[in-house]
Amino acid sequence: MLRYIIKRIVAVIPVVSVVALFVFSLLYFSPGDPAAMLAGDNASAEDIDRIRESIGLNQEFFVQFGHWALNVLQGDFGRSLFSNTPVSALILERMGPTLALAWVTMAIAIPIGIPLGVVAAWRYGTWIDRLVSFMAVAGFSVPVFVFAYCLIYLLSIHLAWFPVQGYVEPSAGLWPFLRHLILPGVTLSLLYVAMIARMTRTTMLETLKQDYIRTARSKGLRESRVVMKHALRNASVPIVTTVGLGVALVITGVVVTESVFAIPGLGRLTVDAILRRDYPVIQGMILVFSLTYMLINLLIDISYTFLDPRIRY
Amino acid sequence: MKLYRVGGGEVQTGVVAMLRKQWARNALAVIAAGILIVLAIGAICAPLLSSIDPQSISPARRMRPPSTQFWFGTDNLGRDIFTRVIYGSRVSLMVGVGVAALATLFGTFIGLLTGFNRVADAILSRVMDGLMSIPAILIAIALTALTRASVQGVIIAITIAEIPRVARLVRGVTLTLRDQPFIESARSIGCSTPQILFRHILPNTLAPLIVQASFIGASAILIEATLSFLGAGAPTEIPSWGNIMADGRSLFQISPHIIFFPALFLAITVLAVNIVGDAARDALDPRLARETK
Repeated sequence: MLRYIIKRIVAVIPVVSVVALFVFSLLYFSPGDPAAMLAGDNASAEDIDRIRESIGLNQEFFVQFGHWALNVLQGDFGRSLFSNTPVSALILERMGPTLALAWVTMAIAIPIGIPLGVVAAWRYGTWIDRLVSFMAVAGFSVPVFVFAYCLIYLLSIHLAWFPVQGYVEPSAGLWPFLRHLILPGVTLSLLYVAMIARMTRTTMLETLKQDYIRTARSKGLRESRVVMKHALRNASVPIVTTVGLGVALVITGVVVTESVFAIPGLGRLTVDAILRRDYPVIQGMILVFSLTYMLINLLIDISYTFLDPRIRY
Repeated sequence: MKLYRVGGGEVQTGVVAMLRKQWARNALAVIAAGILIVLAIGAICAPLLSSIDPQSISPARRMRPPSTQFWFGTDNLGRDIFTRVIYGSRVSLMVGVGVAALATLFGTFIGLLTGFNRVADAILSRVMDGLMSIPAILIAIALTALTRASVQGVIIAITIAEIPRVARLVRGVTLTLRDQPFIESARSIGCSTPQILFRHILPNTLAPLIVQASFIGASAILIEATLSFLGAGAPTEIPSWGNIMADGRSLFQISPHIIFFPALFLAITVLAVNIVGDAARDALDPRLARETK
């Protein structure tokens, strides 16, 4: 087990290096001269050259990459070109709202998505199945921000059940905090529910055709027990994988959802950085998002042993 | 050209006939395809559908609600939204088709190469894994932030983000086919590697590629709209659906029609592409076909 975990972590290293190289190239090839920017408007050409030399900008690509990577490994992503705050501090500051949003989204999406998929597979070919399948395709097709505006229009402006946008710290009380997160959470759930329902349906269809399901039924087990225990448990590995892969979707969605609902999280930070061409922040964010994605996939791979005793490493 | 199923055995001839049969059963897919055709014709004939210039500004008729004169109303600069949405379909379809074609082309090439050559596999597959671990929209955003915003720039950025998906698919098919007896026999009668790759393996990747390309097209249209909506896409004066919606964003509470119509077109287009892609998958995948019939 431990050997497997170590092997998996080692396998992540080349992938992380590619991401790091991509992210570094962004800054390296970005238009504009950071030395000139640091030097200010009144600097002479010699001043700029001196600054360029002092921060190592005249060195080879890979030397610069090495320096940068070493800094990143120590948690130093550089400073924001805009506010001059360290990028790591910015990321830590903005992490809370995004994590809260991600939890709310999962709390909404998983209890809806899995039962939808199970029912669709169980009632294969009926109108329920068709409805779920259609909803899954529709969920993939409606842009996150369009769904967001539909919800705001209906539930916030017309019915006034939820605030239009904004974020409240949990210290202000649990209900105001949740009230601000429900609409963004529902928005983000759309894609996630579609993905989970679709995958659950496909895997359950496979599982329900197995011999042991027929055996379970023929020995007179209740249908609920056959579906929930014998089928769903055996279908759990691909479903859990999808739940994990869905994190990539949530990350994508967070970028959009946070800007629609004005939530001061990582997604908003990313969009603002892009609009201001704040490259160090963009770099930091892409690294953080990719690492999160890889870490979650790693955890999922390891969780297989607990879900399915047949899998041993 | 003969198509072979992965497990060996010839696939039913006449893909078109098979598609037609499937579509006769699947009315939803026929409607979706119809919508796409109408949309494509509309995009090509945009100047004929509306005599108004999509860019013409008229402060006198700002933010009019939909009426018989302005079917979809006007925006905050008095531009006709119907005209802009019709012209916007040009941008969206161009991005969808462009990205699907380019990503398929480069992805197939990389997939064949990595599936057949160990050295290339060791290097390129790591690069593909790395790109896959960055959410597509972030790659696209980062690359458009680098280049000067233009429709071509957006197409290239989304293509780079989508290439790994194609490459991985083609690599998988190539790996399973590589050890099949028909490849071995092709080699034994003296076929060169390029001949084997392009004459014997490539045709077998076509069916899953067509399906994948349609999904990539749908996702590209969505990403383009999202980029424009966030302000990181095509130049703001270009009437793309995302840009029209971005313009209407701040006025959403007063005149929701500015966002509503481009959003409707966007959602229906992507939905139609996805439905057609699903139908194509059901029709082209012999394994699924057997299960459903």
